[in-house]
Amino acid sequence: MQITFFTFTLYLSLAICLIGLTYRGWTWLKLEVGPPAERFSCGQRAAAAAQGLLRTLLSRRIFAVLKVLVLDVGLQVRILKADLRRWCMHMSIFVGVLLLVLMHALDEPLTQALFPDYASTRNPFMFLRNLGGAMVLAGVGLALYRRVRIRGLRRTTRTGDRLAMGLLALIIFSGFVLEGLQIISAPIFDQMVEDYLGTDDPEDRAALKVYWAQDFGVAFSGLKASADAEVWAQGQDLHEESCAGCHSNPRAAFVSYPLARALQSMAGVLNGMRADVWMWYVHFLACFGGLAVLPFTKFFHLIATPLQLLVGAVENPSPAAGANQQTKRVLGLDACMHCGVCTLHCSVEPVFRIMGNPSILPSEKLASVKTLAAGRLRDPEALAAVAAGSFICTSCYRCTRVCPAGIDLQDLWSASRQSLVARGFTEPHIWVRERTAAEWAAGLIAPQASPFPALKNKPRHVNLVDQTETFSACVQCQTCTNVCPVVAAAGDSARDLDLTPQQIMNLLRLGAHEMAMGARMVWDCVTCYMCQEHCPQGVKVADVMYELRNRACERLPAVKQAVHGTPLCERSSDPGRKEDRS
Amino acid sequence: MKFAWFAGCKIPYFLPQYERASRAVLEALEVELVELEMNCCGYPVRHQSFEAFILSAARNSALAQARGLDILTPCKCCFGSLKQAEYWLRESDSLRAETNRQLDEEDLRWEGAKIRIRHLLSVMAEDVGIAKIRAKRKHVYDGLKVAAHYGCHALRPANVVRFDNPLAPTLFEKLVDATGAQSVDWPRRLDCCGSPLWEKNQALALELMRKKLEDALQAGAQVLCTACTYCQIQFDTVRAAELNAGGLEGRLPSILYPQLLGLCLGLSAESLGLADNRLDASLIRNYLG
Amino acid sequence: MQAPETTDCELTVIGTGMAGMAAALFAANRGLSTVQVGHSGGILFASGLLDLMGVHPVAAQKVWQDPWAAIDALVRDEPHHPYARIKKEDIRAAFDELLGFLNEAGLGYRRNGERNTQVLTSLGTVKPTYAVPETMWTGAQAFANKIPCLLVDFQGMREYSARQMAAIQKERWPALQTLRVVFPDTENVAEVYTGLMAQALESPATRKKLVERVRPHAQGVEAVGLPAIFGLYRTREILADLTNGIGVPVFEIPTLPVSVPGLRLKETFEFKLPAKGIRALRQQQVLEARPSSQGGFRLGIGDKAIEHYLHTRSIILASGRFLGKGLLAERKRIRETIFDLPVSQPVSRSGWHQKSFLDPRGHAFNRAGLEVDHCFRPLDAGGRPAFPALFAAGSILAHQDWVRMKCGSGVAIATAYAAVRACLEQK
Repeated sequence: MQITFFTFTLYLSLAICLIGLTYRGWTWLKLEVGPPAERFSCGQRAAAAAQGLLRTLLSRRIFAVLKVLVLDVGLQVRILKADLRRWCMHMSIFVGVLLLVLMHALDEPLTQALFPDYASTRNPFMFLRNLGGAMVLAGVGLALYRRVRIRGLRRTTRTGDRLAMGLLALIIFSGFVLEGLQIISAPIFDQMVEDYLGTDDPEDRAALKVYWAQDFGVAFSGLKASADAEVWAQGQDLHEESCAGCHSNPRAAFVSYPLARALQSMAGVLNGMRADVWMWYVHFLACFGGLAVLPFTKFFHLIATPLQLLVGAVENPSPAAGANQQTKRVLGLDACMHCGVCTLHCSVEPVFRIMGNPSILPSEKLASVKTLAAGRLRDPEALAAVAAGSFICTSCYRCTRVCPAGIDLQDLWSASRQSLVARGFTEPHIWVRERTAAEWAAGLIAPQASPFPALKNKPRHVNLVDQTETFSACVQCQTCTNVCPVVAAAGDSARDLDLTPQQIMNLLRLGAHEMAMGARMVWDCVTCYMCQEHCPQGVKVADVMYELRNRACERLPAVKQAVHGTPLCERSSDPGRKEDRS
Repeated sequence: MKFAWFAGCKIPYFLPQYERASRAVLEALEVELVELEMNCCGYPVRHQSFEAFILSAARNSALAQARGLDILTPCKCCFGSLKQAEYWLRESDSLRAETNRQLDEEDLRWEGAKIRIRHLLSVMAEDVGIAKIRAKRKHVYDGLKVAAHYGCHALRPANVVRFDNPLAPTLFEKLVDATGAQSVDWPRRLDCCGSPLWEKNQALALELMRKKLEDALQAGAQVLCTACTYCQIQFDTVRAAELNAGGLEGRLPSILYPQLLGLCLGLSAESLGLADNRLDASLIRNYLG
Repeated sequence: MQAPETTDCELTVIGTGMAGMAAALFAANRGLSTVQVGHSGGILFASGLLDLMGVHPVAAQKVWQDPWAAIDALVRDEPHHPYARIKKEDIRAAFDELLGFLNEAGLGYRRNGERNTQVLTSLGTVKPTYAVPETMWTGAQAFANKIPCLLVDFQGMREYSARQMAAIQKERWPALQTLRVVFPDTENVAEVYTGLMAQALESPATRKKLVERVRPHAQGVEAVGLPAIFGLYRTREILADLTNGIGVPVFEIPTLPVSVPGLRLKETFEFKLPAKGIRALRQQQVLEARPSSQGGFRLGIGDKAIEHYLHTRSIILASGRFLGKGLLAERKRIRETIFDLPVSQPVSRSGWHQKSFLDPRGHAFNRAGLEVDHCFRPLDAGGRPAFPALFAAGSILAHQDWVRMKCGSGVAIATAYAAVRACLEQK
């Protein structure tokens, strides 16, 4: 009955896992990141991938791949170079899990085949299992500590990270408890005696009990605390004869044995309710659960990340590069295990602290891009937020350089930004330039409709536009306009820029800065400070331009609401009005 | 002479030759650079959020202050941005308090203008000195006419950046002349290169660049010299991709100042990353005596 | 912040208007180590025309053709006017030196011997002035001889109308023709700006297009007048190109400030003074001024906070009046902004102005300023020099109403000359 259930759940979880893996593999060929122009069919991509694989296997590039396999996948040199503590953390989980999978989870098909005298309760296997478990637990503990202690990581820790750490900890911890319960289990002892002890003599059995109680930590109810040495010696003889072949001293289980000792006081109750059996369920169900969710959680990086590292080792100049580029991007999305290193090094992280849009941070943006690629990011508000975050990125390349998984993040950002632009999400400059003064004014008339009232009440530490001193000195002498390279290059300032710098200063004097915000002059200003430098009256013309843009960015959702009827739709419905960027 | 090196965001991916050439030249001039992991200078985000720009810039200054190092940046926009932040933080008590509250989370603090923010050109002209540069030369250019392009954000507003006389700067020409090359006088030398409007109003960005190039050609320049990441990207990368028509083909390539100087100091073209420039500027080597 | 460094110099000129620029030039020419401090732009408002003396007495609006005779009359009537403290040959020498400098820098000026020249302005009025930019000389000659002339204006240009000028001058100068053209590459442009047209003309291609538009209409005239837009840097080249292209002499007509000739003067001084050894501290001001224990002054200089100190043996204060912020009109009195020197002014505010804004006599407010001794040293309350080595020049001086007297440039240049010489004599 038990076996049936065990087998059933094993095959069930294995099946889920395999289906999941197949699905993920399929998405690598199916999903897209980038503008529509870079689209390839599933078949093209599969062919390109196969071609690339063959070319690599049959060329000297295979050595580059092998090198990555040893150094980056095996020894994880990329992590070591970046951060020793992180490497220790990752290495203990990696080695620990490897040890447990090979020597414990796969003991029947693998370990027994390699070591004919294998028994789970024999050394070194018992010791190694404890060692593996301890390493994983230590690694998870270290990971937890880092997630709590390091501010940048604490901020980006998500359910997925907690789930992975929790499940891993549950598997290992339940394993240790299970082993502890098995050590103290009198029912198991009785069962084993029934099966393996060659004698029915009650005295022999009692002697073996004494020996196992004292040296192996089994908790028998009603057994006297101390028996004489003779009985113990008799028990030892019997043990050597019947048990020692499969049982090493449990003290080698350096985690489970102390745990068993600690459970001794409650042993009566635990043995009575067969807690070991219950814990066995917990343990294997946790393990199978882990197996089943592997393709859908952070655990998937076990497969995707090494693959990414290997693929990354090959620069593929073949004609199929475009198709493979797409595949690599999607693989890259899966290879991210949200370790947060990119965000720790992100150049625009301080911007996130002020603007609060998580899509500014690479580790978070990647998740958004993943959702976007999967076609599940449909909420316009979320889309607009991803776009806004994407435009903050300065393409400094640092995240790509530090990524332990070797994901080409720079390429991902540039591709995803292009696809957002293709969907009509643009920088504020472009949106405002496309609007007419009338549209801008209409948006300002209904500011109450703003879905983000909080934006308007932010304290402004430097406030030029509202200060009379800013523009009171202006004598409208037009020097700013006369030295402005934008006015000079634009040709018709009234048509192309709406207002000249000096007219904008005049609008400020009239208290009409909100109208000035929509003028294209404000957005086409190159901030060269020529006007400010030449102003005979010391008016901070360029600084005012900057502030007007800031204020316009805050008002943008409200204006968009008025123009499009939705605060966040970026593309006007009028197809005739395309961006005039050529 | 020791500085905290501030490469800025665009150099590592888009203009690595600028970092290479700068490091090579600075090493030859015995300037030591210290690596601190700094963040964006705040310039790109200034049009969206003044506060985000200030925090970004202030964090960099605070990092350098904690190490007691002056900052050296090769990018004029980074330079201008860091100087701007310094100015506004001094101006506004509430801004300073709020910025320090943010920085305090990581035990950093902006403590007034404790360190100096320096641009590559100022360090070369003023800290290293023209005399030393001349003394270190192994070759000089003979007859090469160079249009020195100043770059806006280092030069203006002068009350904030204090780079040189904003109306009649001479610093860049002095440095060009120190290589033996001849700096030409061209009216648009202080104008914007157009880069700030890239991907925002491309047509205007190109028109601004075209006007400058025509003016420099009219003044007889054979090569344009820059000392700013954005300006060089505009005059080299963008121009190579977008603007080689209208009589400009192959004329007036742009070279980074450390590349121009590096050849005089006897550094190899390879160590200066000359091959990474999109437009072929190898003509300058014909003038190297 | 680093400890502010201190530097030394013999002379500090405070101010960047005409007087400040002239003082810096004269000092540099005499080998004084000189620093000039001030925000940029004071000289921007210059029209380009350099007046010496045009109107006296102001109340009678009497216009003089001979500025030297006007000065004689002025000094007789108003013995406190700054001109009364300078010899005429010094005034002439000052002009010669300054115009020589400008000429060498590519900004040529012409004079009508000892007499004033009549120049047609963009308002259609005629203004007497002493030294005329060479770009406007042909216009002055044309006006003097009333030769057939074509006045050109541009579509979209504000405050400039060739038809208005011709209409106003119809009686005196009937041979005027007018033409409105579109400035090259401004088709359909609502408004054009002189500074930007001047920049555009730096390019030969634009000049060629302009020539093509004007030449067909220049048949039968002997000169062509255009607004003052002949470039900022290549002015002589542009003048020659247009003259050759159109086939008759062309000339500029001064426009309202801020105008291209003002920009040209600014660029020339800003660029050429440092080349003469002037240390120009731009976008900075004197925030603190104290007599120093070693003699001279210690000046704290910066934008808003003191950025560095300067030890200077002497100072020429050319900080201007109200627009230049050398003087500040407070509620009850007019104050000098740097040293808080006594300002000659009416006893109470009620005496500042006449009842009518356009009163031909002008306002007492416009004659306020510093009292000085014969060496142009400002006086303290007791009538003695406030500091032994502090001099003043230009419009900050009392007892002159340069706007109405048409003596602004002359007073600026001549007093700067006298102040520098006094400073030098002290050395």
